[in-house]
Amino acid sequence: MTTTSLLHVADLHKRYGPGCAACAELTGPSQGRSQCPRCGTVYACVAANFSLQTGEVLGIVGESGSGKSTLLQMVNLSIAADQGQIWYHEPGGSAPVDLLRMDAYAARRFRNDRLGIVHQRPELGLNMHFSVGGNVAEKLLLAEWRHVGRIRGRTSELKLQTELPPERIDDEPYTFSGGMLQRVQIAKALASRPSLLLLDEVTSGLDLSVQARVLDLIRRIQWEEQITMLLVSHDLGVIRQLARRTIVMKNGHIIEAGLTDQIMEDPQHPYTQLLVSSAL
Amino acid sequence: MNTTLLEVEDVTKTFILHLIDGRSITPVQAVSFRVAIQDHLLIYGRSGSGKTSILKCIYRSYLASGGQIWFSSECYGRIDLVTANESSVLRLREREMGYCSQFLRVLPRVSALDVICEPLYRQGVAREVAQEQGRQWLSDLGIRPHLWQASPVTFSGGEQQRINLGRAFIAAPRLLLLDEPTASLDGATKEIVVRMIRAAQANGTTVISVSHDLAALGPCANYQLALA
Amino acid sequence: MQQNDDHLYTFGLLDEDAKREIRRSLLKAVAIPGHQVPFASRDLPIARGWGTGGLQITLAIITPEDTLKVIDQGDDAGVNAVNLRRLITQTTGVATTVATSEASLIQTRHRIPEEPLRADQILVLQVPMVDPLRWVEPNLERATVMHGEADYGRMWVYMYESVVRAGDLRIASQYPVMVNGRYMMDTTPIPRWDVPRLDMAEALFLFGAGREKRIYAVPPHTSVVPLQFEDYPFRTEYQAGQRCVRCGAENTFLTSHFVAGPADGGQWVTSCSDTNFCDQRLGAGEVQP
Repeated sequence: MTTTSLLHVADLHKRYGPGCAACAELTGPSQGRSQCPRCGTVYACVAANFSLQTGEVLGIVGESGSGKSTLLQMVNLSIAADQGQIWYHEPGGSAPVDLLRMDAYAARRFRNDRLGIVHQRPELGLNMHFSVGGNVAEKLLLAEWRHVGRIRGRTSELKLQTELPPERIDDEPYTFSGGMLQRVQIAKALASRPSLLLLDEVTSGLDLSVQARVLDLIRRIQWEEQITMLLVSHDLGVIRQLARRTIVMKNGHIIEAGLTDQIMEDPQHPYTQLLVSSAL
Repeated sequence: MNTTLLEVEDVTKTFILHLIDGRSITPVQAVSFRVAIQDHLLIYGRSGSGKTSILKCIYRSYLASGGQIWFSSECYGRIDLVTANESSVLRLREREMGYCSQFLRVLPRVSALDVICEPLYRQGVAREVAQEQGRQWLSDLGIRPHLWQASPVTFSGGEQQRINLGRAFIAAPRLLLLDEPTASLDGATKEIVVRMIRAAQANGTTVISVSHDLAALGPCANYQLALA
Repeated sequence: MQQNDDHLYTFGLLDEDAKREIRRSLLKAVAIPGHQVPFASRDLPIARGWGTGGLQITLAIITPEDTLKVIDQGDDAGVNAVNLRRLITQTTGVATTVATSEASLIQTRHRIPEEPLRADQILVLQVPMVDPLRWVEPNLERATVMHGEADYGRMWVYMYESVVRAGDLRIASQYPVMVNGRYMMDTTPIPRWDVPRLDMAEALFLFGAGREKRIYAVPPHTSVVPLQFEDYPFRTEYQAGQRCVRCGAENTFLTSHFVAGPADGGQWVTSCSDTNFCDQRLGAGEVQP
């Protein structure tokens, strides 16, 4: 681990099921499946290792069921890992801490203060019963902001940054379009100035023209804030536009990692070659 | 004699095509050359002779299968681009190495001005400062101002290529890799490109270009390397 | 067990096992201030929703030596108060009083007496709505997890939105508070006026919800802090210039009545909600006309 690593994921595992002696032999990319035919155990993530430098955008690509979202959710501390460590080194902080060794209270606190997440489906990231402004304010309130004026100030700043119409700040989320809701999610994720932004298929549900504008927004925010991002997508085009390094997952395993353009232009693993050659 | 910026030693690139019964092809076989600071090396040869592959091996878009590529960087000193870790390569790309591909590949609905300024934004240059420079480059490249806010996706092939080149030059890298910089350009625009390369050289940039257009680029290159 | 052949019922109506179960829940509630403890709410001769939670607590802890006071909205003569008092005295035979200072056990609906309570007094409150998170998380299981993890962000959003929408904290009753810096508690049984009286009090406060089958408590000397913002602090219903028409008190919780008049058809007047407090001031001649 180098000194500038923000995150170092070491030997991370997640499986659903009891496991059996035959699992190791019968699952994985070489077998083309993540579920053991003998005992039914699903291996969602096996021995994941990667580092994330401060200010970097890392893409995780793979088809549905490859384990990319599981990996992201484990970093978000919303799915408990079975085994492994997630070392987090606060920029300017002293020693790295293992996020998986924190108690539930500290984990929630960490997730709120240091992480921001944008989900594919806005209902997962937003509370549809609160106004858009309230949703964005939630992160600040959780971080114990207790001054309505200052919260209003920060939410207006975020609205400007994410190009949301300021006059609609107090409207309910259901009156917003899909692209707008992604902007609201982004504004909420950024509210507490997190050190790591997690993006889970953020543009997958959007039509193409809106998709491009949301991606442009994310990219601009990355340049302006130099925020570290972990980006999950099955869309190589999205990965190419945003991520500088990319991890390829298949059947719960990381099969290849490298610079994004190298993964796209000189893929090494047979599966990555198939994936790249299949892209539109 | 100028100091050496880049030393390519015995570089080989082999592709294993897993989708086509695992056969392998080797477009680059034990190539070696050196480039000194402020030189312009022109690599030429017929199509499929591995010109672009060498360029991509230097930029690390391709993983070289053998050999070393020594780059005298400001960030890390003398570094082998074949084995350097990814974050070092990323930092070199941001600060010292520029690459201009044959085709412009950008996000739709992003303006030409923002596209050309992208490398500066990435470096953390303030938006206003970056755009000032961007406007200068766009006008030097002969892109009419009413197109500046339009997306380059809607531009003609020649205009796209000019934007592409502008993007590579704007960050003033120490080493500039140009892949067919004059392809799909008319005579007048080729002139502009040649002038840009000369100006960049004069400002301390080292250029390696790959082309079969010896007529246009030949006169401005210090050295030429022919590939069979 | 106190079984007297002369009586139709056991002392305090409830059977001893039921009382023991309620007392056990009470002990837990006192040990974890503000935490909602489930209990097996019994059927009683009055309907759920009419104070059965408070009544069960009272019946479980009352002793023959106690002196009982029962109030409804601060009024000793309210319908609810009269009926509950009758039921408790008929099944226990304890002495009753209207004077707050003489009571050892006070059962109340919607008020804490104006007169400060002492360490030897217990106040039992009838609770209509138990969980402050009900508004933001209707699913009981999820709300329980939120309490367990002190995950109160959503309630804060609710408060924030009430400020943004109404320009102030417009939550009339059911004002949420943090108890002992840990659990969020609803104050449905009392107006905002009484909320500060829970903080670092001398007396023990016991809360019973019969319909929702929950018991919770605020022990003496426990911090009770209302949710508030720096620029929108918690405020009681107090209005400058308010005054009781009977005793002239300027610093009590008031209720308003419509008084019919001969000429102009009548008018609204306000008087102390705590009738005993008002009467005492009248008796002591503290009236300032």
